[in-house]
Amino acid sequence: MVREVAGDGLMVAVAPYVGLLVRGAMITLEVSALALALSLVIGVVVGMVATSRFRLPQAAARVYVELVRSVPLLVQLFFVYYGLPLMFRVNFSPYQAATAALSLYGGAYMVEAVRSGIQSVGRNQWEAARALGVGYWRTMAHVVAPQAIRVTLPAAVGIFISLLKGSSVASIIGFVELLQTAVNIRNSIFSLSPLLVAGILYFLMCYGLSRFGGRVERRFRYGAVEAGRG
Amino acid sequence: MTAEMLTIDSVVKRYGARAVLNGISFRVMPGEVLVILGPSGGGKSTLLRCINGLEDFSSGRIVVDGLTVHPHGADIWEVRKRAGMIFQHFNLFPHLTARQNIELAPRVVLRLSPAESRERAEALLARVGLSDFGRQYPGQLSGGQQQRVAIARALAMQPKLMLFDEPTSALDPETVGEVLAVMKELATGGMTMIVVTHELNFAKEVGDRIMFMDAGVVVEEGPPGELLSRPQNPRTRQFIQAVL
Repeated sequence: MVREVAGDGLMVAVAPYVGLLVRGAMITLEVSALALALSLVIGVVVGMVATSRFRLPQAAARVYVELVRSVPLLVQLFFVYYGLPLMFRVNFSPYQAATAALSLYGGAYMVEAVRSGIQSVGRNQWEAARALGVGYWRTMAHVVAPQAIRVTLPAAVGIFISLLKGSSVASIIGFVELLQTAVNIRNSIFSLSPLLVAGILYFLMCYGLSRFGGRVERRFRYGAVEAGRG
Repeated sequence: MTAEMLTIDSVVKRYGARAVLNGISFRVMPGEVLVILGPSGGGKSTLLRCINGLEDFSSGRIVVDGLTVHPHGADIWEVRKRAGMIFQHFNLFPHLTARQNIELAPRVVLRLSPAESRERAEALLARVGLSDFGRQYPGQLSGGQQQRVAIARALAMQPKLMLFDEPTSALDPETVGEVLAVMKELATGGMTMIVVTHELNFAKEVGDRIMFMDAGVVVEEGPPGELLSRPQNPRTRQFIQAVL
């Protein structure tokens, strides 16, 4: 342990492993991106249900969101990885379990992001479209979604970042992503430096994402909005 | 004899125990401009919104250009194509430019080609005097300009009937005139119009008939000259004096 904090030669020791850590970061990115994509699907479908006028599906969406948001991600991961195989005849690889748990988790937050996006668009917009003979789906596609996205998108970037960081939890079930890679290296070279490098890689990915999010957000702005809302 | 453009037959709308429309009946002939006056909360807006199915009504019958209105029936979309609506607050789509606002419904509902819908939009922008503003977003336009875009947007569906729900009430006084001018031009062109407004001058000048509504019923109706100068009903008289 003493050797771990001795600063001398710290970064030298980790140097040969940087490539491995970057590969770990790629796996983290891959799982998070996949989970984000699935979260988006869940978010859009369940979010639209949540804003519909159908009571029962609406309540089901509510239960899903509240449940997922109130239970730690780690517990959900255990549930998927250990619980589901006990209940059903299924077996997940750590990769699949991590992706499933993260998607479920991200999906719940995405539902809220989509719901608040849709609800940020006033009733008058629906009515204006309806009065022109534009039906529900086309109004959703051409009028509501393009406006909702201004609210949903920044939230989605935030969710992506939480997924990226949250994916580190999957190291516990033996999923070798960035953190687990760092832990493995640490165990062989007895230095904290792999964890430091992992931290830097997490930071770079998340910071890059939030910068990218800011740019995308600015692209979706249009002329002073409020005046037209009425 | 021509068929009515609109028939309203003993229409009742209740919110709980309160009747917002309490047995309204009237007809509008093609090309006619009907101006509806009356105090707020008298059911004027609700009546307009029942005509194109934005709101349900409890009983009675509404027929638009031969189509019976059932707010949840399949015909309602055809009714909405034939009856354009102008809202007090314009309700333009803020993420679309003026021209895109006009093009949207022709493109997605009528399936016009981009070139056709664009041509139609340009012509309508010219008609409401906004040829140079097609690329502006609603937020960059004045209230009067926005309302003119809204009129052009409704006209893009080539409606046979136009419903105006207090079109100038949310406008700065100096832009009211430009909107009324466009509406007058429409009326002159033969458009059938129902206009809920407090603009008595417009009612007198452009209206073929004025209907005074209060508490969900038609209190009085008649030609503008007569109704405005010699209202028979005390409630009408009181209202007209207050507005003047």
